[in-house]
Amino acid sequence: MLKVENLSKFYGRKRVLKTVNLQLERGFWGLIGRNGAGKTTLLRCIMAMTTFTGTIKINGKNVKEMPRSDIAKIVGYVPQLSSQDVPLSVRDFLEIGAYYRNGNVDNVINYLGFKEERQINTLSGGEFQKLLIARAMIGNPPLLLLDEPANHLDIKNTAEIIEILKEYSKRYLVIAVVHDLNLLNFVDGVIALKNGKAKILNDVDSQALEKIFDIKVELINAGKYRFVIPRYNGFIRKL
Amino acid sequence: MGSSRTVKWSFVLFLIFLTPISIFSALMIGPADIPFKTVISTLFGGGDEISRVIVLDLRLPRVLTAFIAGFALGTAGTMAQAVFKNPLGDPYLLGISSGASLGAVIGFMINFHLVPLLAFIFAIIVSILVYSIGMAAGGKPTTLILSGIAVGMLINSIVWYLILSLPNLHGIYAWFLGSFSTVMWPQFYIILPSLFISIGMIFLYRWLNLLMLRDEEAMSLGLNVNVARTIVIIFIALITAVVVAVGGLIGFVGLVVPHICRLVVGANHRYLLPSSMLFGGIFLLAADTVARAGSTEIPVGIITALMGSPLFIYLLVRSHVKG
Repeated sequence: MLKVENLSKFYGRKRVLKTVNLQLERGFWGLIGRNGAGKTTLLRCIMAMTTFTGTIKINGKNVKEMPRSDIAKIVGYVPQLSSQDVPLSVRDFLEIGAYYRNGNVDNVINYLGFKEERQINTLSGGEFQKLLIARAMIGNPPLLLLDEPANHLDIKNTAEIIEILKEYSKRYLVIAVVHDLNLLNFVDGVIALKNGKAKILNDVDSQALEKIFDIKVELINAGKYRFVIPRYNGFIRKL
Repeated sequence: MGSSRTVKWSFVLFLIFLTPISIFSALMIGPADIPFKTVISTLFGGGDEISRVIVLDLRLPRVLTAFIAGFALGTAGTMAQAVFKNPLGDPYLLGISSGASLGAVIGFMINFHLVPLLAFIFAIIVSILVYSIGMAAGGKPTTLILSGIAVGMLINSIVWYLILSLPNLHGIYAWFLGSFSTVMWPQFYIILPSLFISIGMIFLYRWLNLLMLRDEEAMSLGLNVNVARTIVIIFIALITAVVVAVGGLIGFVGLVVPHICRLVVGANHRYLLPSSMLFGGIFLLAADTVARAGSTEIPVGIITALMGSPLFIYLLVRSHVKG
């Protein structure tokens, strides 16, 4: 499905991604790493929204050679920031997102349960995030990229979104940038970015997380779930 | 704003219906009032000598020109606000006003008849300059606006220097405020292409809808943002330069008409673009009719602001109160 070969990305002289190689089929993947590790950059490269060296192929097609409209048909993208302040209705917003897709907006509106004439600037943070995810899913693109989909969401909205993504990832590939490491309980696999290198973590243990985040952590087991707690001792005194 | 699609289309239909009414009314009104029946019979080949001169030779070209100018400025203003993602977007950004001013001043210095041609040519040259500088600096909407401001200040300093050497300031003053007082059939034929280009812009409504979102978002939804932005800017420059060549720097319409329409139909350009072009046309025609109705002609730019600002303030406050 997704094949990344020798991907490198420079910002000026700074090399953000160093010969990244990845091959993913389907499922729900969490993308983790420190701030500035290149998570968003990796998503932007996959969508060919920025220049890079190396090749990225989706379903065997090189993204660099695809017109934007073709990429939009096979990749759904949920950005960190969107335009909630534009005076558009829910229907307008979804229709704009469907211009280059073959999908039915009516189904999406029914699924969301929002009134189609409701203005998007009256939606709560959680509702708007659901709208963004729904927009990205119009026409069922086989690859879904999400940049911090659970950011600013309360526990109920987070659970709903995770459920939606889990369901979608049964048939398609979903990659989500995740900062709340406890959400890794619900993913099928984890990709970690560190010093410009990407690595698939087979074991999400404290050792691996400490290496990625440069901080001591404790893992607490509770039934089938594991929780990550950072160790704060000494940090405040050092300040 | 929370109105349904039916309400939005009704507003567009209402404006379409209002267009011929406003044109007929404008033909009747003037220093010499001409009754409705006479206007109709004159338009269809009847009427006496005087009514034929007044309606067909004097009023009709001017009325149509004012309508087309407003139509085009409403279109260009809507497009500018989308492409610059800025509520202060105006067709005159990008150095079109300063370039046209330079051309106009040079025209007033050499030969009055060259004013439209030189205004058009300099508007295009300066907007190409502004665009090139903006692109060299990264090509983001804000960069383009800043480039327009910087180049505009430079050109305007030359313009003001040249104005000091003009023997008679009345002509250039009227030009700065915008005026259709000299419009006859030749000027109508000059402005006519901007009507057709503006109508053609309706087909770009999808691009405009995507361009008003964040660049990254528009790209991910399938738009080649840089290509679309460049094409839209070229059309804004062309449409506006033609209008400026004929009517001078008519302010207010391009900036405020899109906002007024947005308060009624929202930001979807499928409704906003037709609304803004029709409302712009009707609005500028009404303003020009007021401008020429009295015994002395008033520059239309003064009337547009005088009529439009209270309406705009009312809608702005009302939309806030409604929530």
